[in-house]
Amino acid sequence: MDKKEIKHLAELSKLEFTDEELESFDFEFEKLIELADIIKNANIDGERKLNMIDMNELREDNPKSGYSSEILLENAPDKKKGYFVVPRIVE
Amino acid sequence: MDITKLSALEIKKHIKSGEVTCEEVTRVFISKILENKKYNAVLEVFDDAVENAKAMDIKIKDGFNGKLAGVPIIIKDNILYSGKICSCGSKFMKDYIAQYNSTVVKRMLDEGAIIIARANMDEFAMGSSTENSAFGVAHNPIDFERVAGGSSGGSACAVALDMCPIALGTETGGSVRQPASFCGIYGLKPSYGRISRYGVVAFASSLDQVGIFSKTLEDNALMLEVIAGGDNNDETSSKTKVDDYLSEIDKDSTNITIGVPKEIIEMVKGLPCEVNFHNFIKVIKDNNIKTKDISIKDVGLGLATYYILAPAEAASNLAKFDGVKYTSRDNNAKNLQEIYKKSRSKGFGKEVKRRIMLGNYVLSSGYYDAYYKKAKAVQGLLIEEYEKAFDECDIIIMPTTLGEAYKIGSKPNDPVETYKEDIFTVTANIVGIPSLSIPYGKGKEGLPLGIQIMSKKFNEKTIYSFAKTIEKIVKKED
Repeated sequence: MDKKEIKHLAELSKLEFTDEELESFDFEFEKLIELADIIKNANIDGERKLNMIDMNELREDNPKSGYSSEILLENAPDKKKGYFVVPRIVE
Repeated sequence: MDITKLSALEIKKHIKSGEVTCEEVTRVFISKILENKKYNAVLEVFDDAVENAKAMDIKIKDGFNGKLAGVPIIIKDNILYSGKICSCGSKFMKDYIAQYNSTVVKRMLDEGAIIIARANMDEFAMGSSTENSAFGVAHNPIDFERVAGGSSGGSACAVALDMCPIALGTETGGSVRQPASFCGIYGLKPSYGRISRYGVVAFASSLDQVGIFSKTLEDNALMLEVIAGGDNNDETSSKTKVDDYLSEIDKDSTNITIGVPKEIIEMVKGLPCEVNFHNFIKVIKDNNIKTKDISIKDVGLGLATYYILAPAEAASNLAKFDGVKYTSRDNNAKNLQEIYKKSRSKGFGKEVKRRIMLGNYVLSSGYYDAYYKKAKAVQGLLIEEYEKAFDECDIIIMPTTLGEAYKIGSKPNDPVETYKEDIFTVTANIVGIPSLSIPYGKGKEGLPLGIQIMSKKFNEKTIYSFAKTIEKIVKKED
């Protein structure tokens, strides 16, 4: 795995690494991929359902009250008049 | 009478009879937490715990008879308790205040529990030692130089050191069973869907479950009765009937068959847990409990499967921590993209970043089929293999960990060496079955070891009654 690829992955992950961090990450990532590669030995015959864990028991779709925006905004690092505040996006 | 040595059931009885008050009990346990501060098991003692205990005393006097009436409980730092900080062991979330109660907290409070503190954990539950906590490692209760395990290490240490009779943790790949084993107590990972995850911070949603730590089996069963069951706020929670775990615990379970996977016998060869595991098998055979050699052919693929699926889901689940809705924001950021990148880079610890990167790698185009899709297929395969194995037996056993708790800082920089610690625990999460780690035996260094008792999905009651049988056998031998 080259640095370019790791940097691309960091971009997808919305993470930044210093050059020093990238250096050690290179080694660690090789090890992680080695572990993941074991899966390639799996002998899967025929089609299998992707997820066989039964779940998703849906409730009746009845309206009920939720949390107020005031409550939901309480942990926001920056907020104003019921909105999250972020820097200007459109130049 | 040392109250802190008592089980939850005994505490409840003493409060009910008027021998002690809930307030006294709560104060004693809080003192215990403060005395043992150096272990770093607890991140915060809740300042309203004593007030809540006083109110509970009045309620109990008025006839309230909840299943946990007056019992002090500690929760892992990723379980929401309204009005309290829930930091997930991360400095990114250090100021986050829960806006509502998780279903498990609500159910415990409804039954009269006093939630006294929140416990240390690996950041976002990623780790096997709490060395990844932003707030420092939780020490092993038996040997201070060693880890308590993880990710729910704080909860396990707290129970082992009598800071509470029962604590909650969470599991994605062994995070309750492994620390329970390292600390010499019981730790249950229930069936997938048995307990609602509403208000529990997600790591890998197809694997996550809330788990229970206790010093006695009865307390474990009691807690499961309280928090198990379907919940309209979590559509992955199952409406399957909740059994009377506590009253069925003494049910005779000598007439069942214990499956010993031959692949596990191979895997333990040369490991520190080997002798103890064979001792366990011998003891059940000596007590005329039927064992059967079974096969779970691909159990060895569990670790690779887990370290593809869990990071993939984590990468998606942790995308919401962006420095906008909650979590701290890096103020040097000049635009929205920079807010995301700088806040996340500053906020997340090394292990969390590593797993987000790995998760996005296995999900990215070009690799998705080779890793993620393949791992999901292996998950299906393992589910089938376990189902087949349970056609031949009622219980499957395996060790919980490779060996005893290891020294703090002893794991090399290679992350995979740490991941290998999870080799016996991860498959229960991958296939969604319940598994209980029971304290059994000791290793070479005199520290506790654990044995896992697994059963079919939603069959926790068989696990409890078999564990009870073992407990009786061990007591008899002592």
